[in-house]
Amino acid sequence: MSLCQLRLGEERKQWRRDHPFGFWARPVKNAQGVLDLKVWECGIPGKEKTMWEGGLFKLTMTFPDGKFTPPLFHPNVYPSGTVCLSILNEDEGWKPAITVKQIALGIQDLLDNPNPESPAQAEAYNLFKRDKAEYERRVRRTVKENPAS
Amino acid sequence: MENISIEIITLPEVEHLVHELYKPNPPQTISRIQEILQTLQKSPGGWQLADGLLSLPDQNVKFFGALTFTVKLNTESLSDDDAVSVLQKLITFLITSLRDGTAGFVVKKLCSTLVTYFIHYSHTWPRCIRHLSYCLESRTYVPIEDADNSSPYEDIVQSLDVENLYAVSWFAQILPNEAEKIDAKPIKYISLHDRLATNAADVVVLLNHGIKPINDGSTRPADSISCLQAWIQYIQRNPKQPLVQQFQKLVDPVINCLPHADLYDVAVGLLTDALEDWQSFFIREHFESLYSVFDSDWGRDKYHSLIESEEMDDDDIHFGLFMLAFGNARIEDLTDGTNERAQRFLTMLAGLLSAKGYPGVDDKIFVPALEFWGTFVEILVDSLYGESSRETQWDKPPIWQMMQAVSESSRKIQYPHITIYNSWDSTERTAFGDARKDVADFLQSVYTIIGKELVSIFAKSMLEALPRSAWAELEAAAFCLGALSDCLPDENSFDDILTQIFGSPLFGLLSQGQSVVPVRARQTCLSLIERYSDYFGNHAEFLPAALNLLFSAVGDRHLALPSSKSIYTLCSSCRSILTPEVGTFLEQYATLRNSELDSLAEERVVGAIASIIQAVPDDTQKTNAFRRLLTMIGVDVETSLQLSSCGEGSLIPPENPVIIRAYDFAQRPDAPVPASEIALNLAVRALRCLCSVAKGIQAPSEALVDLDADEQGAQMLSNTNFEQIQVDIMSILVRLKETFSSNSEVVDVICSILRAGFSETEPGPFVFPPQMVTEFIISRWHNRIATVVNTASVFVTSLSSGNQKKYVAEVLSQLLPWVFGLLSQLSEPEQDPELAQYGIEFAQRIMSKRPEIFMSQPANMLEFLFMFAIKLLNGNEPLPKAAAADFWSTFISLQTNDENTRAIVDNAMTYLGPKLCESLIQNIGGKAARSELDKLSEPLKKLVAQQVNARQWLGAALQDPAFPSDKVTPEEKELFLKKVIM
Repeated sequence: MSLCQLRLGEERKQWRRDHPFGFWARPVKNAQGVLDLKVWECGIPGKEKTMWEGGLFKLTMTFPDGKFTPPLFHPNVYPSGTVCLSILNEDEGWKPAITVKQIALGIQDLLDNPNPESPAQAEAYNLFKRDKAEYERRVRRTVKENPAS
Repeated sequence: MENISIEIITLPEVEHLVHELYKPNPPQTISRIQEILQTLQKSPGGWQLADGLLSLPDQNVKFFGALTFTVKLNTESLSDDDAVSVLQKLITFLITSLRDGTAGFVVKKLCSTLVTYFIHYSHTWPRCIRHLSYCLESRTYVPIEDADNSSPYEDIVQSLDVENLYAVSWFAQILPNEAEKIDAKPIKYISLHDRLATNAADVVVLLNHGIKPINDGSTRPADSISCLQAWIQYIQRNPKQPLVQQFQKLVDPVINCLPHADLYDVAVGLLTDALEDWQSFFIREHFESLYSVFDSDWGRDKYHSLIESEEMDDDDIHFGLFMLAFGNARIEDLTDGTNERAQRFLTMLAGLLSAKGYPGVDDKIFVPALEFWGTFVEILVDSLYGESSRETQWDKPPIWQMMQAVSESSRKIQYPHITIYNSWDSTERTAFGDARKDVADFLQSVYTIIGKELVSIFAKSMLEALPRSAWAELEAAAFCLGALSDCLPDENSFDDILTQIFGSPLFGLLSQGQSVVPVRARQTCLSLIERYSDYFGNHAEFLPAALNLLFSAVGDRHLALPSSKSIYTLCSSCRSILTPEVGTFLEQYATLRNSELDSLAEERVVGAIASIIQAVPDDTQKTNAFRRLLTMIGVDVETSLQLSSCGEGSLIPPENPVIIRAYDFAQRPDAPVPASEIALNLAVRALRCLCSVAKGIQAPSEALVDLDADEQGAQMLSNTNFEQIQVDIMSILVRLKETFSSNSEVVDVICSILRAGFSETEPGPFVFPPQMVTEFIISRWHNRIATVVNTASVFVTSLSSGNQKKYVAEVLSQLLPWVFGLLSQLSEPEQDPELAQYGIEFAQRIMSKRPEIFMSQPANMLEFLFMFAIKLLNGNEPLPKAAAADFWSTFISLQTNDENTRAIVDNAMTYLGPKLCESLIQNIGGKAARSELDKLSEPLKKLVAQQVNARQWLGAALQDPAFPSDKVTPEEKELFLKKVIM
């Protein structure tokens, strides 16, 4: 087993033991039903008491990048759905030591606290900066289209 | 207090300050007192102060005295002799404190101060445990060397009374905790860990005496077990074989303490943690003992208490976690079907899933137990792969137990009665929902071993529950069946099982509404249809019933969103089968419109119908069906426009039926609303439906594209069949745009509708003639013009790559001046960054696709645009800047065979090159953010590769006095240039 596989296997154990509420994350299975630990599917719930509450957003983590499927309306998510995990810790850059739990929580936090220094899509970014009312309307629709239950 | 002078402060004054420190005082006062006290502690008189404070009667003051000793030991360096005299003082204080009723927290602090002493002066106190015990036993300080020659340590420990034992145990427990925090690299601490190891034998003697399954007052077994736990943690991080072996002796005494009620908690905690974190600490004999514990009467009683008690308490949960930790540690045993004892234990582990209560709510062992089973199955899969010859035998261990776990867990996820569910808070509901997802995960792993039969089990459970109307049971089985849909292979080998379900009376009952089948069960059963949508593609006979059912659920507020989603999936994937039914679908939609209908659900339904219309082979039928759909949507458009023409200030009462279509249930107003607001809502609703129709009617991406299609022929078809429809749709768009285009949502949705037609290769209602699109785009807009420009970009790109290339020149002759005009109206490029970005992207696309058209634009326009692109590059808006970098990359490497164009490009480059270099160097020199450099390097690379003058231009830019940094020397700039040019 490679070092990377070991590390991610440990990651999986950690996640099972202790994961934040309402989140899910698991390595994907390949055609033979064997886990591919390098690719994880996660569900990131919108934080309570924010306009993202009630939504659950599907993210595929292929370390060190994440991709929302379908692409997400959000200033820091590229039109393709890609989100650079480094954005969670811009100053220090992405570190392999960061855990899936931290990433998942970081992305949940990012939902309601976009980083205006790193715009990735013009639509959400410009509405966020210039038309908050419309931005919020769009977010609420996004939440309705991706319900948690 | 402000003017207090540290030098002359007296002991009573300090005592007073300490009293004040622990009283409720304002934060400023507290921090001021702390400041003074810290200064005192660090002053040379600190030692005396510590001494004095410890002698005073008040407990807080004593504590502060001990704390001061700790601070001094940590911050000052003493000679060995001085150090030993401090040790003597501390031990003497400890001896007194244990006799004079000093509070426990002071005694603990003294013990931890002694540990601090050991950390810094271990060389003066090598056998600290022994010496400390000896002093306490003698009730006086004894010189360190004397302790070495005293009687065997066993004897000293035996004669320690319970107070002394308490103090030594505390000291022994803090010791490894503190030592662990010390970085062993500095010379000063290099031998610390060795000295700690020297004391290990004494610690083992001490604990061996302390850890006994009795509580007769002579020892404190719980403290001793906690102390052992600290040492195990320490040794795990600094494992040395002799040390490990010494402490392994203590495992059995701890196991023996388990049945003792007072010691159960701490013993089970230690064993569970150690099994989880460091199972190699245990040896074979320990595992034997633990198996015996679980097999014992006590173990069985505990187990039954856990799974049978109505209200699981912490004791029960801890026992369950202990079992699971042991199970994980012996997981290899458990996969061995011939190991009888292990298999008995595995049966108990399956039984953990049957504890009383609801998973995640009041059954707290379910989720951890299921995690164990998840791991177990993964390991089992590996071991079974290894021995492919053996068939999986269900009635033989360990498969038998795994199937028990399947049965228990699938039963446990049944929803409770609605009154119980409603009594749960949101956390409990989420936890229960998460537990269900965990079960789904588990079943997917089990599928790897069991295969098709697993699917069959849940289908059977559903059918068994059906005649009994056991809806919760049926719902749980349906949920499990749904979970397995992800695992099924593509071929239809499970269709026989699914036919039992989809051909059963269940779906007839479901369509009879909530009075027959509760909402939760309906929802889960309906979701089965979507999950197994492939099945319906092969079994068209069941498709109408399934869709009727889904349509009947769309009107139900709770089921509208999931069932409309299923309708969309099913109609889209089975469109060709459904075409004869298109009329029925349109009627269903008409009926739905008459009552409450969620807007998102409606969008999905019309999108679904549009996808069926797309597949209708006969063009007349196709246009007729489409027209019926459009007419229904048109009703909202007309109502919207009528309402918008009502006078300003007209209000609509909340009971007016139009309100139901203008607002979804959650947003519905209870007071009169301005007609203008309703008009806008209806317009958005109609547009969103149109947009969904436009997407639904797109040809499926897998459909074959005839590359040799005759352009003219395609155009003819479009004209004859869709001409009038296109005119009608465009008229809707134009009217709604003229009335509502100050609303950004309206603009965005209109643009999405246009785009849906761009990518189509076949004629269709939304594949408008290019001239129609162009005229619409360049007409007047009141908001979000940037989105329109972006749409124009996509339009031109799709024209250039599709079969309508011949229109590009004509279209551009209108769009290019329009975009230039919009950009030139900006007072500065960053006034509307989005417009600036999309405008420059538009220009870049045209330039790269049709350079001859682009470069033949009037000179003043081109000059304006190039300067605009320079300004964006110099600006601070990240997205326009990135777009400008792309623009320049394209310009620098522009390829053209047209001589005339080439001449214009070269001419422009001579003029623009230096400006571009200046801008790039300014950015790279420090103006740009780190994350922008990748983008900005592209034009630089192109420049260097394509332009002979690049060196000269870049050189000049580097020398420019406006260069953003004065930290870069001319030599460094020269080196940069050299490296870049190479």
